[in-house]
Amino acid sequence: MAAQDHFSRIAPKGRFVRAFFLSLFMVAILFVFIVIYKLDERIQNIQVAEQSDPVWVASQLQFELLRLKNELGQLALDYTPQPDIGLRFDIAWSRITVLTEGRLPAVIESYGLNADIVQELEATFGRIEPAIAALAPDGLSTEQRRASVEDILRQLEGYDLSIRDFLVELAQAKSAAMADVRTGLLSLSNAIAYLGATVLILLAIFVFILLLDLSASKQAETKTRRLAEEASSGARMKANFMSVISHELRTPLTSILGGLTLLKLKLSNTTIDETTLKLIEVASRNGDRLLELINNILDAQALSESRVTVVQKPVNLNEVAAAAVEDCEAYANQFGVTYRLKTATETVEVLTDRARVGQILVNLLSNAAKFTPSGGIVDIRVQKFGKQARVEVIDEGIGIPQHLQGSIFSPFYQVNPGTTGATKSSGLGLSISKQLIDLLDGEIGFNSTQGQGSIFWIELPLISSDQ
Amino acid sequence: MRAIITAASLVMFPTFAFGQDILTVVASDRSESFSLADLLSMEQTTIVTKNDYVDEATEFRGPSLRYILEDMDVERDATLKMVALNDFSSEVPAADAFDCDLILAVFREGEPMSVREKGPIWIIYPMDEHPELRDEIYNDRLVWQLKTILVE
Repeated sequence: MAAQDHFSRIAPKGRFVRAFFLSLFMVAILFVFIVIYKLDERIQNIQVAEQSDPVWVASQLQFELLRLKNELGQLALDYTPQPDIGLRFDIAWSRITVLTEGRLPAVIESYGLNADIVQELEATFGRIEPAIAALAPDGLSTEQRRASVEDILRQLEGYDLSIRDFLVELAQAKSAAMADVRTGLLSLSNAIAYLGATVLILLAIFVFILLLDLSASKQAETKTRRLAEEASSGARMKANFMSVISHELRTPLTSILGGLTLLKLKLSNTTIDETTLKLIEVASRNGDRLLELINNILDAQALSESRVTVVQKPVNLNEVAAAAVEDCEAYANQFGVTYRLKTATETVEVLTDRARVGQILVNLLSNAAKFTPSGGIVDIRVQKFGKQARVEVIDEGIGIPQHLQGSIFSPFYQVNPGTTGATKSSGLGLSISKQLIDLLDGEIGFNSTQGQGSIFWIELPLISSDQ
Repeated sequence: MRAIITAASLVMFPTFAFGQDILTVVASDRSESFSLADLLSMEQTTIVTKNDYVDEATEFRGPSLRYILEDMDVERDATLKMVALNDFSSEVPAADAFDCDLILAVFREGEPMSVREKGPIWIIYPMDEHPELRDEIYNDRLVWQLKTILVE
């Protein structure tokens, strides 16, 4: 009971706390997923920001444009022939191609910048391309070349500045993007730190709860063990008590019964007062019943503690049955019941404990007498039944109701508890018989129909003739 | 066949003649120059890949850099300084050439590359075949308008 109280006290609280922390854990796990997802996004942003740096490509464009103009200028001044002016032009153009192909246009767009200047430059390049091509051959006079170069340079004028402005915008946009990435990373690393702390705290709390649970279950276990010890020692005390009481009761009872018998003898010679004799008779009968009850309790006690030993010797069941009938005759006469014994014609020899088998038979016979109406007959048959010796006790009594047949060998069981004073019993007889017959390696059983009577039988293994 | 390629190249390469040297490889003890014809006479490798400088998966063709390095007894642990036409350079570990099949691409979608289109030689890594190469480090090694390889 104490243990139950204990459990009912901690169980709901513990369940609530556990559910609470479980949901906290769920939230933490969700948080982890969000953080990981965000982290992935950030890393992709960094990759976009770092890869294919448009600032670098744009600065190369600016540089190549300057180199081209420089060489064009030298050509105009006619310092030296510039055989690679076409190559310079192509290299500069290739930088425009890089800015308009692949991923860079998308990156520039993601910065929210207008790259029209690159397109304009490309268009201009397309316009000056024939003039550049015409510069290479030596066909032009110095004057013509100078004029052509001046024209080309005029067309390229202004691009220096606008490309530089574009470059500055690109650089600013990129550093802003990088700053965003950095801020994001910082907040993310904070989130990870918080997450780690949360998980650690939750873990600590879980361990704490686990320890609490452990100590609680240990306490409960100790309590249960103590209760079990108390219970078993209680049972032992009860058994001892019963045993002592029974012994203590039996001694004076034997004296009382002996006294009663002597008194009855003496009075029957001197007095003819019927009432007195009847009273003595009642006292004596009830004394006998009390003695039987006490003996049964002692037997049941001994059986339950496995203190009963059996001495097995060759025994003729015919004789045992006859003796039992003889012992019960007087008892049966009280109910106006007679026994009819039919022994086997041959010797029915079994290896068993004569006294115990006798006890069982007496029990069955007295039961049969008890439950047979006055004037009835109880048949006893001893016979060989295959390799078994079988004794049947057949009565024409009230029988055993179907639904009770499963439990009649249980202790303190009675078919008709307390119908009349005369048929009252302890309810221990059949239980004791069953345990005894088990000890003797025999069997006990019955067939019964309510209202028509019962057949109780015991079987014991025969001593085989070839032994 | 060779005659057709020669003729085609002469038409398509406004800047470089077919027989003109377009690549110089300089090792510690010797230096070798290769014309487009020389490069085309080597075993050709085709790589179809995307990179940051093309719009979609593109077919590149050219000799494996490994053949040239093996020819010149360049060791795995060497560093290659890739110099472009505008004299900018980028460093590539020689191990790359041995580990992944990087090529000196001279053809793009079956056509020679002009200087305007990052030709005549563009170092190409098989990035589609090996996703681990899709990294900023390798992106920087896609040197275009390659002119000289200095073995260090």
